Amino acid sequence: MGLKEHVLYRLALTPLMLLVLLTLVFVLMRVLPGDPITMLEGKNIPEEVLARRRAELGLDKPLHVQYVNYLYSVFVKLDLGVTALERIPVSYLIATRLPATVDLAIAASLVAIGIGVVMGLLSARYEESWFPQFARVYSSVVYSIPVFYLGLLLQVGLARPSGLPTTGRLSPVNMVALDSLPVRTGFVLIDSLANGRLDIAADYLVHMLLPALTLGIYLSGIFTRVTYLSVSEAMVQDYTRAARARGIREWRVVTRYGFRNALIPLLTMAGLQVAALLGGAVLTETTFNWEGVGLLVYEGILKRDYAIVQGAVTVYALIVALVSLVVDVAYTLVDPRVRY
Amino acid sequence: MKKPSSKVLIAAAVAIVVVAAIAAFLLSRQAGPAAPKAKDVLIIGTTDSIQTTLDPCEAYDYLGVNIIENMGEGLFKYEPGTVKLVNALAVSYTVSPDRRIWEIKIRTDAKFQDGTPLTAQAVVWSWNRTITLNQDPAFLIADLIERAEAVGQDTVRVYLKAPFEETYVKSLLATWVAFPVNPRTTPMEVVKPPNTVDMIGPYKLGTWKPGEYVELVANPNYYGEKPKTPRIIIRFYKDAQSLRLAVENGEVDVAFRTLSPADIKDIMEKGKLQVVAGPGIAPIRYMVLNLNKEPFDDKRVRQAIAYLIDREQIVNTVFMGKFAQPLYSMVPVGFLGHKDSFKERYGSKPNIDAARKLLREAGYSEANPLRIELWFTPVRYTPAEPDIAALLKQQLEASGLIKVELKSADWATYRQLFKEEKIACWLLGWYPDFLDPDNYVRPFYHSGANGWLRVNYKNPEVDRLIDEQVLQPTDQRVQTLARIQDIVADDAPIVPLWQEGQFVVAQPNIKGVVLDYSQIFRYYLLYAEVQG
Repeated sequence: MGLKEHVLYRLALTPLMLLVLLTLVFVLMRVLPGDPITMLEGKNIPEEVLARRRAELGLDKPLHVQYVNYLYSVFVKLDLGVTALERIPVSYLIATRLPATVDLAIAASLVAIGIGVVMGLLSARYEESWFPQFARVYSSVVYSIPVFYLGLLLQVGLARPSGLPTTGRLSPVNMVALDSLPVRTGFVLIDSLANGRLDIAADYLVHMLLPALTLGIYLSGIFTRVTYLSVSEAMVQDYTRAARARGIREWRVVTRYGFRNALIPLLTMAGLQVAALLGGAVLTETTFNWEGVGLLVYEGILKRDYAIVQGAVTVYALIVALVSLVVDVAYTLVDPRVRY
Repeated sequence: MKKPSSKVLIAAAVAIVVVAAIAAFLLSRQAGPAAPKAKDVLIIGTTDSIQTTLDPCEAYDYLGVNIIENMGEGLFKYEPGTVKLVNALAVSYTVSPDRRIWEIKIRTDAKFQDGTPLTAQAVVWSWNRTITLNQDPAFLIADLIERAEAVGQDTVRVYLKAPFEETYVKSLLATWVAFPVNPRTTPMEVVKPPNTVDMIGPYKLGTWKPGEYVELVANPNYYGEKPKTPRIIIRFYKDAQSLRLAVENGEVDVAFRTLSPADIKDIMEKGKLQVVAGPGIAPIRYMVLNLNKEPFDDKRVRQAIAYLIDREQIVNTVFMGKFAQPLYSMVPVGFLGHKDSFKERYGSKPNIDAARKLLREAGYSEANPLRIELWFTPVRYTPAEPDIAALLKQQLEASGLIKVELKSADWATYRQLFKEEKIACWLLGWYPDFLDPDNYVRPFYHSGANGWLRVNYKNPEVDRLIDEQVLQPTDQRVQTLARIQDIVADDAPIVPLWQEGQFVVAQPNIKGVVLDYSQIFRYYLLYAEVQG
């Protein structure tokens, strides 16, 4: 199978994967007690008004009818529906929130890969010292620590003394200012720089620091291990011995000969971690009030807003599918030995 | 040219990142959060959210309604700091001798945001819209008004469904669902986010980003006093902890609803922020006992529980004695007809002997204690809910004849559990729809209106008295309300616990915080005193 066929094959599998996922989410959300209208109950709203609201959402229909209606809406009409109580289109909500999640994911990946690669290389370079042990313990600790707890630790340990912001993406005044700028893509950095508002861009970066560190540190453990293992494996190969024999300095051997060997596993790991990244983003966004899709999902689950959760999962699934496809293609660029 | 070594490149990259981070931090300090504040914009942080829309015909949650209260007004309104109903868009009114027809003269100088003058036709159209669309809170006026008509440009004639008492009618006409909306621009359907309708009030909607913030700006066409601060931004926070950090960092000027009482205490001790406390009724808190379920079908068990509750301990321990007060009737303190019926019937302190006697009569003993599950929901009300549940368990178990198991669930699950009558003893809270004692007795004790609660309480005498009180003159009404409260205290299907006060945490320079029983947080009175 050539690369083109491989890409087409993967693309063809995506709707099937979506179907399985959506079915799972559909069932899980309905297993939870209550429904979206439950949020309005506990007040003396007349029963007939509540019943009418349920009927408007189709919640009065049998489950299998709701299921078919939902799939029809997603796959045929390409419509993610509206939120239950506010009746805002879910696609609009996701479109306004997605840039924040993408920004956070990119920043966190940079932190994770940065820390991971540096620690992995140092471990491989100073194999005989205490450092690899330290890196191993670090990796285990950060990988096992709950991400919201790590966030809380950073909030208390870093933000309190330094005055760094702990909630939201921007200060409230800048949030409103951003929404009134003429050039709008939804990406804060692009919008603020394109409109010459350096102060908003700076405010955004400062707000992003703690969430990106939290999610980045959480994911850095696995990158540390992967880098270390791949590089140290390469370090005992003949070609690295030969390099040493040619008098090339050890650090250069590690970075040039060893690290190249780690690129494929790193790339694989980066691809695999996209799902973990998005999952971690839900908790990180919740901890830091970072208004991305993750926070939307959290609120959606609490409110039992089926449309929000199903819509967000659809978008998440598409992102994961797309990224893993890109990673597959990228293999062939990084390593000419890879063929499809 | 020699290529720079990788060391140099790495060092350069690190230097750029460090410099950029420091620059960003410094720049944001200068131009970011603090700079444009001063006095033309105030930021209010809250953990509340807007549950549905900002259309007065549909909004039915605290924050949504409160924002509407700042953007509109009805024919009557509450004077700030009091529970006195005064004319707002009304100038005067007359009531027919049979109390079924009201003629209300309205202001002729009031205009909507787009400059359209207010007319009697607009008032009637708005009410008809609310009743026709029949959304969640429509019953507030739909159950009151038979029909309404315009008499000329400046008089509204209202035909009531029954000869209701005067304050009762005015309090319902003061609710947000009765606010006039501009017929020229308002559609005959619910206006969805991020929009609202054109009303007559101190503010109008600027930008609304659902789930993130709402911006209000001064309404230039408002006939009344201009707001003290021209722009208000209401910023949503996910929980009390985020809100506390935001107010402590100076990111918000005012934090209103809801920090935990323990946080407030901590903030007061630190002394850097001001804490303003005010009386409150939102919510009142109570324990529901399902009368269809054992053992609560036995009146003696319910009365034993009422004997054992120590409200003062809850208020003093959890609310520091400042932010709540004990509640001995479902009609809160500060309301027409309030009577401390539970205090008179069971005392203000726990009476363990009386409780033990009743429980023994009901067949319980040390060897065969009464086992109950007490349910609570940890997020919807105060963040201190688990502490309160633990205290209640302690109080009930002090009898030596009751064993309590605490259980909790998130709101959606909780609501489903009590709706399906799978639980029999649970804690709830009530936010008033309108400020009248009827709203504190009918939804709980009238068998035709308490279905939502699943308490299954039905007492024909209480039903009759509730129906009568809204038709009686005030003096007689107070007596009827007292009688109702005495009967339901004895039956004890619901045990009132406490009523929560309101508190605002604000930066030291914030003035104009007015908190009263109306529960309306008036943004238009707030302002920041500028230093220097």
